[in-house]
Amino acid sequence: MDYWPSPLIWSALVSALAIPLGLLLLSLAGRIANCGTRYLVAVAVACTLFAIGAGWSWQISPFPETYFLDLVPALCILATAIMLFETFWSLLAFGFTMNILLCLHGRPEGLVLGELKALLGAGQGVDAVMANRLLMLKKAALVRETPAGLVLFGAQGRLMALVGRLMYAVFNIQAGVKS
Amino acid sequence: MNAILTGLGAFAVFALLHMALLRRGDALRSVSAIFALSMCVHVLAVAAEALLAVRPNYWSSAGVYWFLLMFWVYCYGTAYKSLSVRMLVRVSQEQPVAAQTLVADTAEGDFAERMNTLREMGLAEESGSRWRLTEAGAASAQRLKVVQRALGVCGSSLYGWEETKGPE
Repeated sequence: MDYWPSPLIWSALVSALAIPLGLLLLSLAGRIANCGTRYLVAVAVACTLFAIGAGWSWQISPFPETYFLDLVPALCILATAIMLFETFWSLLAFGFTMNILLCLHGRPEGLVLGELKALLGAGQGVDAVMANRLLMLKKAALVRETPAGLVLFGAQGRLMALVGRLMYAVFNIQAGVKS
Repeated sequence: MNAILTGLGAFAVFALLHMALLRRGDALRSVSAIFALSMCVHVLAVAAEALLAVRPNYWSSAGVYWFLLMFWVYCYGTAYKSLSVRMLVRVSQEQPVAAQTLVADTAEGDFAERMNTLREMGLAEESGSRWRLTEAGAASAQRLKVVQRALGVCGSSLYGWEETKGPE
């Protein structure tokens, strides 16, 4: 079995490593405050590097047919890295459980639930965190508010809700709010 | 092309096994269980390809396999933990839903669930009416703070408040 990566696969692997490195450098530069934007910039840098690497691989590839067979796995490797690092980045920047953990840190006497709930979401409170997520759904035009209450908004709202329910069914997760 | 098909086949085996295990109990929902299963399937697929394929190519099959696996895990994580998806599904089931009821129910149910998760992971404990971190929890939180500081996440807009909250 051939374990040594082709130049195109090398391009994908190096570009994938550019994502965490880019995040670190952007953090040190301190120019972009928004975590989501910072991640997008790191991904854009990685994709640019991959495009340059893919061009270079094409130049030195002795067999063009092998090049195109390597293109799919190379793109898969880059996409895997984008999803993997996004998962860790989201947890670090927006994770709700992490937020609870950090609120309890440095308080050896502990907190009653009411105090803890009030500290979440940068001191805005747990209800504000949830209201923020609901606002995200409204901004994404997935739900809208009517006098009777919240309803799905248009075809995109129904489609995304269907995808959500499908994922719940596939992963055997009980739908709705757990209590 | 055979290598890509090997990757697709390995992923199909993983997905079927994972769905079967998820229906067996909550203990198999952990990240470590998914990782162990994915590695077992990967090793078996690589061995099968090395033995059976005419021109085996590790990176072609592995690239496809890890991409599909990561996409699967990404969807799983989103379905399992995302507050937004939970709210969206609730709206689709019960529309129209009062916004206040949705926010309050999600806050109550999800908060209790996360506290249970922290307790089950041995990171937090409840004594009397107060919650505090265990030694392991304090160590994890300390490490988390160091990483957040190194990556400039600490002190940034955790939930993007400045962008999303309404006028005061």
